[in-house]
Amino acid sequence: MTLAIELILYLIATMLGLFFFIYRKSPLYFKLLFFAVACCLLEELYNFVYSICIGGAALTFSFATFASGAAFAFLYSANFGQFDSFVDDGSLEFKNARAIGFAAPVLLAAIFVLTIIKSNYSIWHIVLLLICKLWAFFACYYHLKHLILPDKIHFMVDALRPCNLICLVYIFMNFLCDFARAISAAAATKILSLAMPLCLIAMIIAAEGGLRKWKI
Amino acid sequence: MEDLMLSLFACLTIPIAMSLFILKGKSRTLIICMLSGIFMCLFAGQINGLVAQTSGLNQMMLTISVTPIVEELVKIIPILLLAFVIKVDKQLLLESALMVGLGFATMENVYILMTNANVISFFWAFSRGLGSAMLHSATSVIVAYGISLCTLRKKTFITGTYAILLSAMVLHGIYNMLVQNSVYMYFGILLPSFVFVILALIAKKNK
Repeated sequence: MTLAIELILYLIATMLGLFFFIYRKSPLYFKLLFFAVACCLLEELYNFVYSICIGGAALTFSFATFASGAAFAFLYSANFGQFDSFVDDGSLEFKNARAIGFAAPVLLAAIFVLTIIKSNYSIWHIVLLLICKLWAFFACYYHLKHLILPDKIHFMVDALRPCNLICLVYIFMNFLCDFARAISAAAATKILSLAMPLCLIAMIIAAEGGLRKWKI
Repeated sequence: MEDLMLSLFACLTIPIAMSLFILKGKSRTLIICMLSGIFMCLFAGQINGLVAQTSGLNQMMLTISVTPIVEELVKIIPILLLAFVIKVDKQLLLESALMVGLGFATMENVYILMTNANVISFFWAFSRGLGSAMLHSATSVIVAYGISLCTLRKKTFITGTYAILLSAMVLHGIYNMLVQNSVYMYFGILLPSFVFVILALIAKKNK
């Protein structure tokens, strides 16, 4: 039942993103965010279809985690590939933001390591999980950096601060959900699983609202 | 079994390849892409067979977790060649990717038909043919679309291609799960059609 509700919420987020993608003139940055949301939908859809077609005990490593990896890669592409070069010209003025940004991946890595320790994953499971989650560390660095970066060039940063905050929250929720699952905290897992798609709906709305102010 | 695959490959490709003598321009390019799709299916079949022998996974687990990875990785090869070596334009890249997918689906369908000849019906074959064609062409077009976006910004190429490829693999895995289930088989056939509807809406908007 929870899986079905999550799927519906992910579907709402994707349809909302698709609407803006098709019917508004969206820059590549928004398209990449939309692709990230669509990947999250794919992950949920895979888990849902697995539960109804195959059922039984969950796999030690879910193939759907690859879709999660794709989502993080798209988030990273959006911020690093599309946004960073416009708002950071490499000057000393932004060095604090560049340094503080590392706090996010360090914290994320700590959660990831705790998850590995608390779980009983095999070495192959850990390797595959790392391959999927790797881009999350890069993505969260840029999300935090762009969240705190002074808005001095092109005045784009302020418009997307809410979006970057929500993306950061989403990434941490994803990792915390894995941790909750590893320690068998069922209630926390359920809450985080339901909160994540709501986060994505908010992200799409925040991105669309912010990007209307400028085009890249 | 190996002889069957090779024989099927020869029977399919030789007549199509002969048409290349009279085709010109874009038509020839698209037929070559279709032939490369057929070849990629043969190649993927060999790898899948090898993995099946060495991994010890059952058929179901193989088709929902290993086969999508192998097939999508193999199908991307001609698309990457077209995008970065031959450097075709975006429209031709998407059309060529579609033909690679259709060629792949053609070989796959014929192989499945030959290995299940005793149990199939026309309706099964029609559904399977349609679903397989739509899935393989949809995943190929998605990958090609992603690559065409990535070429706009070099910084996004590696992560973008990686992400698009993973998405295509998961979509393929979902399709394989659905079509192997007797109850939800037809949802599996509908799944790639949704992808095409979305791609058509995007294409219409971009015109």
